[in-house]
Amino acid sequence: MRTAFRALAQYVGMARHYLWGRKGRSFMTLAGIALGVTMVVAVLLLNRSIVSSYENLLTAAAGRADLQISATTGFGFDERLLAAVQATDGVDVAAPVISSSAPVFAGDRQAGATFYGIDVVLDQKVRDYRLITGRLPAADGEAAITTDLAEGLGLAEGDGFRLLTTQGLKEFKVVGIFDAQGTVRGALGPFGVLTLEAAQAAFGKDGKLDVIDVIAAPGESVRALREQLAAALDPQVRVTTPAERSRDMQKLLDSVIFLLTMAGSISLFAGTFIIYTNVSMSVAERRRELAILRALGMKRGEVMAVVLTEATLLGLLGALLGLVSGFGMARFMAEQMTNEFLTAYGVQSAAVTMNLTTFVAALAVGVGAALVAAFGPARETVMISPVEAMRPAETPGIDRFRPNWRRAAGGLTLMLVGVLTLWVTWPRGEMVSPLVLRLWGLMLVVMLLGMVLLLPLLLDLLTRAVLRPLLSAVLGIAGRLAADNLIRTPRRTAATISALMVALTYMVAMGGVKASQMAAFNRWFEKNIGWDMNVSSSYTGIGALVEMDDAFVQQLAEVEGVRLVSPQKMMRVMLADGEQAFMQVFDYRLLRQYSETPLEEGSWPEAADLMEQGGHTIISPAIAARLGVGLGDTVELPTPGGTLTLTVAGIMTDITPYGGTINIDRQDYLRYWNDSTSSNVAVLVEPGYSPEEVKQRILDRWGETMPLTIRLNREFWEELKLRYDSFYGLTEALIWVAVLVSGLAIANTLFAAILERKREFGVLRAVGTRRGEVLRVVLGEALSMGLVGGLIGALAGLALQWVMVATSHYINGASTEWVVDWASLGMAAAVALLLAPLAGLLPARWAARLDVVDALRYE
Amino acid sequence: MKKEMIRLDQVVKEFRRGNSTVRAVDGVSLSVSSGEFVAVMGKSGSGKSTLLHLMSGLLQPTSGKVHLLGRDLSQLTDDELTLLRREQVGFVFQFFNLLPTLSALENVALPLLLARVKRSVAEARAREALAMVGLSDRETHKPEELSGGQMQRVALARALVTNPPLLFADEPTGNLDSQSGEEVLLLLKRMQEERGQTIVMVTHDPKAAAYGDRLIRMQDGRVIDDQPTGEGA
Repeated sequence: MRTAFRALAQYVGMARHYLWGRKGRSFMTLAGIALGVTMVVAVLLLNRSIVSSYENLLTAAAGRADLQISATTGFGFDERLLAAVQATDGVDVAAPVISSSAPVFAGDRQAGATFYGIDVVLDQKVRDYRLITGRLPAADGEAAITTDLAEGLGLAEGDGFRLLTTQGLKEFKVVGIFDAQGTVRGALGPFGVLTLEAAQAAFGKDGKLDVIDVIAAPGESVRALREQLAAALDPQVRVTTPAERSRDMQKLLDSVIFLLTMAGSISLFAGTFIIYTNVSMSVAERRRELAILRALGMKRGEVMAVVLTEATLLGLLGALLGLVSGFGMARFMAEQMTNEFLTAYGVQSAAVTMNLTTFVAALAVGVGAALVAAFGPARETVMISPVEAMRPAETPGIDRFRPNWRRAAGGLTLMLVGVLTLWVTWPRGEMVSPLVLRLWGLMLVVMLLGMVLLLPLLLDLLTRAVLRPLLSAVLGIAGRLAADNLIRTPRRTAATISALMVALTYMVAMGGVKASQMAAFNRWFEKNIGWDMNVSSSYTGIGALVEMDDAFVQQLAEVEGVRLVSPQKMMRVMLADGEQAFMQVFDYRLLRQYSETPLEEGSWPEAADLMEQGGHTIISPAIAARLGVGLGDTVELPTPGGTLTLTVAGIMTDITPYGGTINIDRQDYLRYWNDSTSSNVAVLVEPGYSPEEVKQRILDRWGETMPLTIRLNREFWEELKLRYDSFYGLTEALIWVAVLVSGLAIANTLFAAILERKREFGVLRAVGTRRGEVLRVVLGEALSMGLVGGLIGALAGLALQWVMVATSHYINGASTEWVVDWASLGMAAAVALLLAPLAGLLPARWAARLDVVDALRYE
Repeated sequence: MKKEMIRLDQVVKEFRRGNSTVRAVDGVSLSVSSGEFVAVMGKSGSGKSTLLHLMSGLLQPTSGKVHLLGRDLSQLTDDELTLLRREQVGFVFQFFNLLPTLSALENVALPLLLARVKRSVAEARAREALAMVGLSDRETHKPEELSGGQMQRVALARALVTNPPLLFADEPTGNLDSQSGEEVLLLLKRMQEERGQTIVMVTHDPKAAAYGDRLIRMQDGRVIDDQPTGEGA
């Protein structure tokens, strides 16, 4: 034991000595590992953070509830159900809840928060409220709020604030402040509680409830109780466990998770790969040094141990650095996501916390990849005789290491497996399951790996057929030598090119996916959004949360300059298949005057005629696929007024990420939901009036009494575009890390290649090659790597984009189209053509300045 | 009167080895005239290779002056020195130092291609040079397909292709069997006699040195003997 420890200490000592002795190279390798791990950690943490913030949003809100009863119809359910539930055998507690997000104002401060209407006595049986001061509300006009909301608004117990309600601003008094962290709802961001009655009145839900939280009596089977309740209750509600409800909601995030899974797969691959390239390079170049150790009497195993100890040290240090920077990056990304993107899904905060899985994954990627990378070249060195390894090797010509056909065939097979898997699991008219999504993520990695194995052969063919003649023509003999050098060590060069290829694949694919979505979005917007302005009292944008009543809409129509007001309603409903959908209610008699629903099936204005008659619906392709219906078929919709049967009048282009949209006419809504409130109102202005002018008139008319959000047509476009930008901005950060790391790999490879060919450079200089010409040889080599990596990366990126665009349709039903994004292709070309020579500049200068006599020396 | 090709005046070359300084060449003065075949002999570490590197401008002296073809090397920029080597000097090394990715013909043509001579012209001259060393049938072979002697002859052809007035050879037979070595030495001798080229050859082999017509012996960085081979060898 002691001997083993002593040996280990000796290996660590030698490794440390070597690493410290070559600070520059060690730093480059370390940076490669750290950045690789950063990418992996950032994506893993972010993924986890988004999923868990969603889980928290729902499961935390459920408190100790075993079951939750919620509306299928999207606008609450009759509160008389509460008594029925409470009277059911086996129910211990049944606590009613109303919830809504709303803007809050105090002095000149403003914040967004979720407000819950609760039965104070019953709710405390389901949830804990850790009051710091005061008490829970007991009467209308009273509220208890979380510490973070109180701090944000500068409120103390006894202070007043104004809450935006369906009827405008209403004054509330803070009667209690509780600790957000110590409360089950703490993970959800700032919130407040009101009495049930106050919340019902404030949010236009008189006589209604959103949720009943149920705790089963001790000893009662939750499953049995659930079945009993489901059988006894109205079809407009459903009974679920909190976990099921959270899973339902998570489906909304499927498209986000899909992109992040793809990003994660690529990051994991690129990160691991980059570490591999960097470490194997640094071991390979020490062949002679290791041979000397062998010649001096070190056993094979001991030499291996020294090298692997070094790799472990580097891997460990790199992984730890990567953990820290990855954590920082994930936090930054989560913040961006919450600010611009996730709020649209109701997530107020996405906390990033380190977890064991990520920690272990980072270590596994950092240390594991470094060890695997070091093992191959170290083994190659110790297996040949020390004398041979010490001999000043004549560097190989281009025909010694022809690409390995078996390896290439393996690569091709992997790619075929990927393509076949995609083909077999390709959805045919149905949505994709999360399991299949994960499988696709895996297949992406498999195909990339296949590409990497195939690359040496491709590189060989491409260099002989294209690069060598091309570079010879442009750079003369310098170009010829540069091209030849590429294929002398095809595996190493291919490995480096792969790193660049992966980064550029990522860049082109993500840019392309964004461009495709933007193209679909622009087309959709142009047709669909015909109003001059949109008035709402919502705070977070899509899915207005504070409804406006009929009286408000009437008054709005009377404002000078307003030609037409068209109330609209957006809400979530449950379809017959038990899955959620996003429902839009329009008055088609009015809507057709200012916009057109873009249709993929059916025609306009015939569809509008049908919608105006009532009893018809226009649905998104996702809904059509889910329910297996087409034009002329019927769809059943559970409503508070009974089941509404609608005939499909059209299938629309849908760009929303909500997993399917269904449009109905306002007259059907009024009849079946018995609700005349609106989420927002589309406004057209009279000729001769400018939208800006009318917007100001509306703001002046309501002023302080009702804060309104009014978006002009263009502003709305910009707001939606910002949401796309901020989402894709996240992947951009990852792309640039990958680009940076591939630059490091190129520099590392060139350094290794120059070290290996030091004597050749000496000869070139001795026979009359100027420094500038040597510089050109090395830069030509770097440029060639850039060209090949760029070309293959761009092609692979376009292919990946095609797959992602095609599949995104099956993930959330959004309509997209495949467009070539010239901007990201141009950026990839610029990176390929600039990054590679830039990364090669330092090695090239080094080669040009080599001492000729020293380079020619053998010992 | 013969033209002076190389002149060294009190040339000193020192190298730093860790904290100490090693004087590899210690106050050497000598001159080489056109058409001479000079052999430099000495034991390992005697400074003979350093002397060759100083003469050819691959190294700059610590002190003293080196004149090559009448030009003071210390006054030339790196680019000027490189051009001087490219146009006026040929090199033959112990380990051949051929570029493994190029064929024999391309290796020979390399100095011309570097000088941007038209490819067809460069190749024609390379063919001539290869014919001169008796390797016309090996034009398309890569270095790894040639024997040691053949590789050295290719290296010699490369050194000759620009028809330089000066040829430097560093242990040209050091890595060859005796028969191949002799072939190479005979070729060098032929170049001197037929083309009037000036040759400076470093060797530790007395037999090789005998091909020269002047022998310089070195020890501890100094010239200890310098006379025609007829008398000194």
